[in-house]
Amino acid sequence: MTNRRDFLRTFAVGAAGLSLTGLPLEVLAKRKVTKLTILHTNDVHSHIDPFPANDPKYPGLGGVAQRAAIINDIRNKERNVLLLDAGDIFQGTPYFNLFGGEVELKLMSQLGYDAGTIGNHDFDNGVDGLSSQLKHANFPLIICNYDFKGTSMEGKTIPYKIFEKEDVRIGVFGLGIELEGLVDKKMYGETKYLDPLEKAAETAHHLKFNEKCDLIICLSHLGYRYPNKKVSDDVLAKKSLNIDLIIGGHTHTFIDKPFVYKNRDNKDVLVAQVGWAGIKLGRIDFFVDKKMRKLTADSTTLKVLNYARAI
Amino acid sequence: MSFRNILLVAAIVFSSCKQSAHLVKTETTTYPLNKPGYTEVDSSILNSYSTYKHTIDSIMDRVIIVSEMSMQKKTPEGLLGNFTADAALKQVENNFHSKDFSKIDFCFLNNGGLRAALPKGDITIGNIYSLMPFENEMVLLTLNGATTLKLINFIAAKGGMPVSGLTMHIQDSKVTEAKIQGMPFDSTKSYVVATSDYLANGGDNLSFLVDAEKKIVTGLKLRDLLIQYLEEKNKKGEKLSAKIEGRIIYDK
Repeated sequence: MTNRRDFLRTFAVGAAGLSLTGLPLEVLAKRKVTKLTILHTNDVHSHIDPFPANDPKYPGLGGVAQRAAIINDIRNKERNVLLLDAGDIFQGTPYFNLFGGEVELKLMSQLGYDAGTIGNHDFDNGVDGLSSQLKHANFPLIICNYDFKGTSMEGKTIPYKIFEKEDVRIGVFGLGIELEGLVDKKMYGETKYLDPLEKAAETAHHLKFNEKCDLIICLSHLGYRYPNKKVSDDVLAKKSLNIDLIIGGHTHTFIDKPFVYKNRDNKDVLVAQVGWAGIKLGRIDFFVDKKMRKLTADSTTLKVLNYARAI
Repeated sequence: MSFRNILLVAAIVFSSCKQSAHLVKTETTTYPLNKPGYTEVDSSILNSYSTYKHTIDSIMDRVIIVSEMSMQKKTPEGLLGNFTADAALKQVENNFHSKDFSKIDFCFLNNGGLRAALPKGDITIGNIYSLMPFENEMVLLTLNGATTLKLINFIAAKGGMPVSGLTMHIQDSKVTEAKIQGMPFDSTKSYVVATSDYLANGGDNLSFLVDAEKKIVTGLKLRDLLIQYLEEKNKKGEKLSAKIEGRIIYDK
C-alpha cells in the first residue's frame, strides 16, 4: 500500500502544480513520454532446461526456451527493451561441467541479451575458463570494479555501456563481489577487486554528468543484504547517488516487487533481484519524459513513482 | 476507464508538468516461468541446444539408486548434509590410502556447496551433478587442538554445517559440548579432518584453515565419491536414506 500512498501524494503535488501553470491539459498530455522496458535475470547457473517435474522445490520451473517465449512476446509489444543479467551465468548443471559455458553464452546471445556482469561462479573454470568462452557471447560483460590487468580477461570487459532507445540514454555499469575468501585464488588469479562503492560513485557520476544519461542502471553481483557490514545492494542503494536501478544477484533473493530505497540525496533507487536458476524473469518499465529535462537543464531531480503491478 | 487507469494517466500528465521530474513512473513485474499462463516454449531455442542436450541426457539420465525420501539442506542439521558428509567420509576412508595418516576423525562440508535437493525415488547421475556441480576434491587436514576449536566454533556460528563424526550442542551461537567419534573434544589433541579443497583453501571465510599442521590432497572429486557411494549401496540392494539424529543441537 505504500506505493499507492506515494502515488497519491505525487498526484496531489502534480495537481497543485497544474493550477499554477494554467496550461491546458491537452498540451501537457501530448508531451512525449518514452517507455523503457528493462528485463532482467541473475544467477541462472547453467539452468538451460526447466527443473525436472519431480524436483522437490521447483518442479517444472525455469528453462531458457520458456524464458525466450516470454521475451519474444514482450519484444513484440514493446519498442524499447533491454535484457540484462547480473552474473553467475555459469555452474550448476552438467551443461557447464561438460561444455564449460559455451551453451549458456550461445543461448543468451540468441535470446538477445544486451549485457551481463560477472559473478563469482563465472570464475569456476578459472580466469582462462571464462575468457576462452567469451567468443560464444555477442553481448558485452560489463564490470567496473575488477581489474583484469595481466590476466587473459584483460581488455575483454567494459566498465559501462550506454544504450540509446529513441531519445533516451541509458547508462549501464557493473559491480562484482569480493573474490578473496569466496573464490579459490587459483581460479581468479591476478584479478584485482576494487572498492565497489567508490567505483559505483565514480562511474554513476560520469554517466550522469559527462555522458548525460537519463537513466542509470547498476548490474550488481554484490548480493542483496548481509547480517554484517559486508557491502551489498542494500548498502550501495543507501550510499549511492545518481543510480536509478540496481539489478542484483548472488544471494538468490526472490524479490517479487523491487524495493524502493532512498539514496544519499533522498531520491528513489529501485533494488531488484529474481532469485536464481531462471525461475523468474524480472520486468521494470520506466516512463521517461525527456523533453522536460531539456526544459530544465539544471535539474538533477529524478522522481520515481513506483507503480507496481503484480502478475 | 477504471479508477486505476484514471490515476495512471493522471500521474503521467501531472508529473510531466512538474519542472523537476523527467522520470515519470516505473512499473515492475516478475514473470514466473512455467506457471500457468506462461507455458509457451521457443522451439528455435530448443533446436539450438538439442545436440548438447542429447549428449548430456545420455550420461545424466542413468538411475544409480532409489531414494526412500526427498532430501534438502537445513540448519542446524539436514538430511542432505548428513548424507553427503557421511558418504564423503566413508569413501575417502575406503579409497584413499596413505602412510601419512591413520584414520579420519570427522568430515565437514558447507551447505552453500550443496546446490540442489534430491528427490524421493529414482536418483540419476544428473541429480548428483545438480547437487554437487563443482569440481571440488577432498582434502585431509591435520588440525591442532586450537585450530580444531576454531573450526567447531565456526560451525556453531554458522548455525550448523554438514558434519560426520562430530556432534555438538550450541547455545547462543557458542559451542557448549563437542564430541569427536563419540569422545569429548580434547584441546591437547590433533585431529584429522576431511573436507573439500574449496573450504581447506579458506573458502567460505575459513581462512584459519591455512594454519593446518598438515594437508593431504587426495585427488578424489567429491562428486565422483558420491556417485561411487550410491552405486556401491545400490549394488548391495540398498536404498538411499538419511536421518536427523542430533549431530548438531541448539539448546535454549
